Amino acid sequence: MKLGNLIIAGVVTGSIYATFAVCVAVWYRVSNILNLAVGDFAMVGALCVDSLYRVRGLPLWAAIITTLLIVSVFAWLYDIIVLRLAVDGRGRAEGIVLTFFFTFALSFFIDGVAKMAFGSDVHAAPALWNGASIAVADLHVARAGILVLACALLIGGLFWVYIRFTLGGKALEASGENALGARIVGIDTRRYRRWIFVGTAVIAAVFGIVESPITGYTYLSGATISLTGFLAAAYGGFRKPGRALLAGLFIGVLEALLGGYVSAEYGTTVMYAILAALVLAWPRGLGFESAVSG
Amino acid sequence: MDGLSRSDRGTRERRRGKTSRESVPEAERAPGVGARGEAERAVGERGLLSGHAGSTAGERGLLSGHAGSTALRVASLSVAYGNVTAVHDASFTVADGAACAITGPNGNGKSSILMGITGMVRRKGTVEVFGAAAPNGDVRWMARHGLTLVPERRQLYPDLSAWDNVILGCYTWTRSIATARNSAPFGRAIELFPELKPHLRQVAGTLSGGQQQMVAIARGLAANPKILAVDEPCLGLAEAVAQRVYEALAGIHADGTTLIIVEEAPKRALTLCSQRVEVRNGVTA
Repeated sequence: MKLGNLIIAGVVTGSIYATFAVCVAVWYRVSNILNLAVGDFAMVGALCVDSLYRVRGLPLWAAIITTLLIVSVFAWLYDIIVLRLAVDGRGRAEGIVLTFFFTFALSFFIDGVAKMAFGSDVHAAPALWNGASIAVADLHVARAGILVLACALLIGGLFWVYIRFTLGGKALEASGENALGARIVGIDTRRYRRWIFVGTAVIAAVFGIVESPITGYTYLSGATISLTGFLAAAYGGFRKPGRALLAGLFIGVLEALLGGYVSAEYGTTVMYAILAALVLAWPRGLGFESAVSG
Repeated sequence: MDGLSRSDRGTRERRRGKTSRESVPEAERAPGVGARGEAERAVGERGLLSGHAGSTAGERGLLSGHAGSTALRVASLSVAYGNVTAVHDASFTVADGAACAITGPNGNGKSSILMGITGMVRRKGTVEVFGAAAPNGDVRWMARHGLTLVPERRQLYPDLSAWDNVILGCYTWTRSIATARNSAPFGRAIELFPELKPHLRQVAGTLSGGQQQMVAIARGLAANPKILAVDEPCLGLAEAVAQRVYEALAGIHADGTTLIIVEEAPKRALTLCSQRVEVRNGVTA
């Protein structure tokens, strides 16, 4: 039953990667910018709730609502101040600078502020669903894991329905594919960019809050999650949220199996080696070519 | 379907109400088609307006006074890219229901006039659509007020299907995909090019140039425009396809939509258009 438990743990971790990959891919579809700070919003979610609840003594619900408000207001301000200047302003940035630089800088900025605000110890938001892990036969599932999976399914499903079946979803895709063509039919590309950015930041924060009881977060945890989510999104060519989701799940399960059977210490290293080898062997099939060539 | 055609009629009636207030009293006004015929005769008598295009016609009230109402009024329009002035002091008016060709050699500012009017680039001067002053640099305002652009090089969404491309034209007036799908403008847009039907599920980027142009025009039509501005509709198309495109444009015009066509070669455009604005070195002649 070791295999079953490893796969369950892998699916839970993978669903986090998958959700972050979907967030990166959806926002990239709108704005053609890669959000390298999405994991940092998760870290802020977890550590801010912990700080408000444990240190400042707020009730848990108040801590969660305050945290989500802080994250959404911050993301909104970042968009209207930094991204608007960078993307829509007179001296607009283009190419690789626009694609990476601004969110990369944001990631460092959030990490720095988080270190000052929350310190460098491992913390976690309190568990939302207390109790021992649920056992079916020999399989064990942590309750937080079930919450994570439920959130991932809900968010993935909502995104899928929105993009596939609504005019707003199609407008979102059109914004990223041809901003000029989108403006012609009256699509406000800036508004889509802003709301998807704020929305994915809040989604990330919710995941941080739900997931942190399993792993525990430090101020640096965000970058690692971002990296893996980013990789999974890359496997979907950055533009295909569905593929990004599958890639995220695959990476999660692979990581768990390598940790369980190969080496707990070197599992991650071996995983990145396998991922790199896959890209080299089959770039077109994995959508990497479109990710690089745009 | 019914609901939408009602709202469609509603917008057209509102438009009439608005424009009748600002032009000629209802009793003096000739009925729609007759008025347009009169305008065209007047324009015809003056030999197509080329030479002293629009501004003169506008000042004398040829197109705006007699022809029912003015769809588009452009006054002292200038467009510059940095230090380079592409359009200088262009003025003309287009009557409601008319077809106007903006012609001139390549690189003389025809497309820039259209870009300036629609707000794709910043401009100086004033642009009025059915009497309402258009804000500078706001393409969405134009789309919502009935002027839809079919731009040069089509500007489709290459990874979306042809069907998705067309239905996104409806975004100017609805956010509901069900309303859009069952609406008269969308039905009309889809029926416009029957030869496109087998390709509607195909990704737009993989269509041929002619098919892409058809999708772009259909998208423009799905926006339910009162004025359809088409920029170089036949650029790079085979003769047979170009003719097909013009047939479709003639059909759109016959349904009462005001047309503005930018063409380098005026010959084909003038088979359809009764008004011509000639552009030379960024100046309307």
